[in-house]
Amino acid sequence: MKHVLLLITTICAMALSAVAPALAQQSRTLRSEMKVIHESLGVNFVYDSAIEIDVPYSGKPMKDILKGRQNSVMPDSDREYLELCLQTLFAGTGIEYEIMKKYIVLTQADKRKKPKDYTIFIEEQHDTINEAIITALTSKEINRTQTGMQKIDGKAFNRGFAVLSSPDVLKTLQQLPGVASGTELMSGMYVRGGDGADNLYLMDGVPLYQVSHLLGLFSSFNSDVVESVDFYKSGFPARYGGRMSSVVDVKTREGDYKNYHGLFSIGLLDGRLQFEGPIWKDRTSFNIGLRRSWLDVLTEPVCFLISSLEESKFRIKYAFWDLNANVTHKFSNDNKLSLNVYGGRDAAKLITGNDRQPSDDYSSKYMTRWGLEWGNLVTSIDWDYKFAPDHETSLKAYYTIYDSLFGLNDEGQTISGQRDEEYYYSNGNKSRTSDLGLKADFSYRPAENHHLRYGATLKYHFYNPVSYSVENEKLDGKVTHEQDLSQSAPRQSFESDLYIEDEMSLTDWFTANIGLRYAAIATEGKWYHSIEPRAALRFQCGDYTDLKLSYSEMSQNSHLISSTYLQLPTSFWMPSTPKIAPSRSRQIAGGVYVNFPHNIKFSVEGYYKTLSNLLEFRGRWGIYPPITRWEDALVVGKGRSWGAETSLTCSDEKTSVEAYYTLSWSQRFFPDFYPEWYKDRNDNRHKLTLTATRRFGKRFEMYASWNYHSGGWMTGESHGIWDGEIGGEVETFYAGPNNMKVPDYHRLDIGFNFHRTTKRGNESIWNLSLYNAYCRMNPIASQIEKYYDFTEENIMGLTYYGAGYGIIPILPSFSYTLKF
Amino acid sequence: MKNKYILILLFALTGCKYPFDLDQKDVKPMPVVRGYMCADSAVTINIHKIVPLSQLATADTTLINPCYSLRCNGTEVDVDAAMIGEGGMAIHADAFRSGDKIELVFESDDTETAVAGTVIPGNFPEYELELCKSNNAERNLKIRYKDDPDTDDWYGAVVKWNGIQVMDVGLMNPKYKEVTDQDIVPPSGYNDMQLEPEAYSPIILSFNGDYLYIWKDSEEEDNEYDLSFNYRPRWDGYVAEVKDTEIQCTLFKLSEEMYRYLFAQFDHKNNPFKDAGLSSPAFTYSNVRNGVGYLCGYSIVRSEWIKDNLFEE
Repeated sequence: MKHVLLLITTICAMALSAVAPALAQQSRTLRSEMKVIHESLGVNFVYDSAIEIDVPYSGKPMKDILKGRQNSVMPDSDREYLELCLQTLFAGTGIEYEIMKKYIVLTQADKRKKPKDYTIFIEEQHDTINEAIITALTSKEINRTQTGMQKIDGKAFNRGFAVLSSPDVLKTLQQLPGVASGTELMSGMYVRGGDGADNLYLMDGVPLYQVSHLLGLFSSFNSDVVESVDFYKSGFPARYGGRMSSVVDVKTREGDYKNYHGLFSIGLLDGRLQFEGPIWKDRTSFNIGLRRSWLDVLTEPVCFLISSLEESKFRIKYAFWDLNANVTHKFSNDNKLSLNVYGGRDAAKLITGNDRQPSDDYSSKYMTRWGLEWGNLVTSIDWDYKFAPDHETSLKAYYTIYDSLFGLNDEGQTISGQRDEEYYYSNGNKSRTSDLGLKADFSYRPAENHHLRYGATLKYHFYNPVSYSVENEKLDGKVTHEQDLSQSAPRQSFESDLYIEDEMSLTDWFTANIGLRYAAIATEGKWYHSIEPRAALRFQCGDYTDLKLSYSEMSQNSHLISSTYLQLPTSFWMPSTPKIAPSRSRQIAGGVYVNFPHNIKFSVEGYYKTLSNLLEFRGRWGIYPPITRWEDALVVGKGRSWGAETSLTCSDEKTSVEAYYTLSWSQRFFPDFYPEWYKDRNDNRHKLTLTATRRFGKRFEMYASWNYHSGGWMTGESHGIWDGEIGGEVETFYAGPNNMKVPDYHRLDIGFNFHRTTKRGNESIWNLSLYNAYCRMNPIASQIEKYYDFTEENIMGLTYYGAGYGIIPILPSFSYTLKF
Repeated sequence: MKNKYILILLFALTGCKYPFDLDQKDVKPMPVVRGYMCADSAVTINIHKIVPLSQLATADTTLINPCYSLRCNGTEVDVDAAMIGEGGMAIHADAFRSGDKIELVFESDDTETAVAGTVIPGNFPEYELELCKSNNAERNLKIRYKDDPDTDDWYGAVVKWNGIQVMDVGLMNPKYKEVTDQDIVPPSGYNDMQLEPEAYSPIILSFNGDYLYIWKDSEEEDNEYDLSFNYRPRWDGYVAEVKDTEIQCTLFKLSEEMYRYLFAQFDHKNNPFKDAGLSSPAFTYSNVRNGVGYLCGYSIVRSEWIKDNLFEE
């Protein structure tokens, strides 16, 4: 009997051993695999409880995929493994995922299945997440009711191309459809026919007036500390206001509450340091990002060398720095206080001089200093508090200041025999723009299908441009001429905004975001009121296709006073005044958005936009506009633009391809310039951006980006009449504004990342980039060249062509980044 | 000096100027219309054909089969036409009056139909003149006038003077010369007392050879315009001083088109960035549809001669 039992047991054991793998496979579920991901990579999942995750999973085990990671030389390449795991795990399950920092948000691909409540997977980790975060994460889908909205994860910037050694937020946005970049290499953002000064840049909810370093080569946003960027071109939610054309809402990251880590990077032009960690574990964290250019470290010794070779003194120096700092304290999961500081400054100096003494009774010395400085300081205190399960608030107090200085100093002394002459001349301009603001935002969910947001802002603006001129002349120590003139034109205004918006899911297939914003400004005894309706509608057509429609009105009460189209910091900001009314835009947009299988996304969006009370400078000044008569120097006009933007993206675990195409028209009407509509100078009919990223193995990745747009427009003499005489006169005429097309713009950027691991186990990245790889000399300015030739036969010859000035050739750059 | 060469070398290494074609294949000849029409004075309007600059060496600028029509308040007026230099033509008509609405339609064989129109403005409103000393020039002429705050109006002024010039031919033997109908000299550029030039009360240097000051009304009923001027250029070392002067002011009321055109001309002369495409196209104004140029009106009144007694104070 024992033998029989032994035999049966043996047979059963053999049978079981034969089917064991199959049984094991049957026992794997989405939940179990998610747990493997959690244990290996430390991420949590947030999902609608209606989503079935206890269903069998028969695909490639997560353990197998993650085995490669254990052998990887890139310990910080978790993101790639995470994406690979998620893609494998949820393929064909009807579940969509989104990676949000340390949380993975799972949603139903079928949007008609409404979420019920939200579950946090891995309960033991619940202290790291709160309802506010869940709400923020899960409402993302509803946010996308908006047309023309793009959310870019902070990590995307660091994986993108890096011109001159640093990844850049604005350079990334410039590639998007509907955005004209203006002058080569600058940080210009001309969004859907905008004028470049009508973009609302928010750093943690606080407006920034100047967003560029090095005249636009770098933007003010340090990608190391950027959590995400929400970029709106249309369908603006009512919570945003104050500018006409776009919103760039940059949010910086809170520091890690558990561990210290950071990165250090040094590149061709700048160095970066970022460090974060807990101050009080799980309660208080900090995150600091610092950038500084080090071009001056190179120029200083070169200038010293030049100066030492001759009597003349010569010194040229340029440097910029910026600092982002965030300290956040969590009183509880529902109660958080944070302090944000951003400071940045650029300073350029050119010093020439001479100091010589050819004889005992004669000596002379002089020094000329030219300087250009500008910078921002932004501070804010935020208090986020959830006072009921469905009701929360965010209170913010902030101060932002932007100042610039452009000056020239001349001083010298000549001693000839007994005669001692001294002089000192100084003149220049400086400006300061500052805001003091209080902001309250509330979020309320009265029902499952409604999300109300409402709030108010109170702002005090102070603008102070100053012109100065100081002259002092002395003879033998006695003052012979003295003059100290300065003119300032301070202005101030009070502005208040109120808004309310409701994100609604009215049916299974129809969602809407309806809002209203009221803005009022008091300026020099005059009140301007603005009521701005906002509406965004989304119709879901099947599982993969959305139709969206939006209408929005925006007003702008602050105006950039600039005498040229160069984005120089010599421009200054001024408020609307009794003479200058607020500018206003109206935009209607609609589109089709399709998510095909295999992560292929396609969208086409059209828009029509009008701009009123646009301002243009009359343009017969130097680079600094007049500070006292600036209102007289402006003319008022209108603008309109329309077009279509298409986007096609696809990606897998190794390759990502993006293609954007824009077909657009942009026109202006300034009756002081021309009695009819004319082309805007950034009326780039076609714009095409192709970007590809490919990872080869574990250590190497490369990217390439080709950008093309039709040339802009300039005003040039197009017609003429000759008086018929040899050596006679040719009278030339302008057929209209912006009547000459400048050459098309195109360039190719290429970059390579090489990943290594240091002996201490830290990840290091070498980045090599080529900006403008085939050295296309795209012009930053163009003009008409014409020469007349009168011959003996009384026949006039003519040379007539355009001349473009390109100053940006192929620019190789490198950077080395060490994460610790 | 070497520093400059180093900078130039740096720019040469990194910078590049390259030519590109200005595509004028589809650019056609067009008429240029030039007509300042003064109320109650005979009218002359000059029209020429201008050609794309790339064709300037070969194209004929003669107007071929010109056809034109000049209307006043919708009624065609009788005109005389004559050929003028460079293949153009001049249209002469009798005087128009203030308030007349004028429209010109013109076409020729190889130009599109061009249309231009304007309204001859009314007279300069009731005014007072006061001559004062100025902070930034030798004299300041205050022009006080009543203005309709509900309408946009555009004005101008030309000042002439009579008097005696003291010629500096050696301090011991000054020479005196009596002069009439002399041009005043506007203050220009930076000066001792003011950081910013007078640029936003624009001065047109070449309206019939006179300095014409132009301005736009404000929204107030009682207006005052300060016209600053010098009797002679500050750098004039030949005329040491002037004395026993009197001035006369010619006051203009301008049509909107004339104000804008003159302002655009002023912008064109003074815009350092205009040819590099770096500034607004403020200098391109034209009110001729399918053409370029101007058809605009104005009216004038002349003041009495005002004695300048400020030398004696």
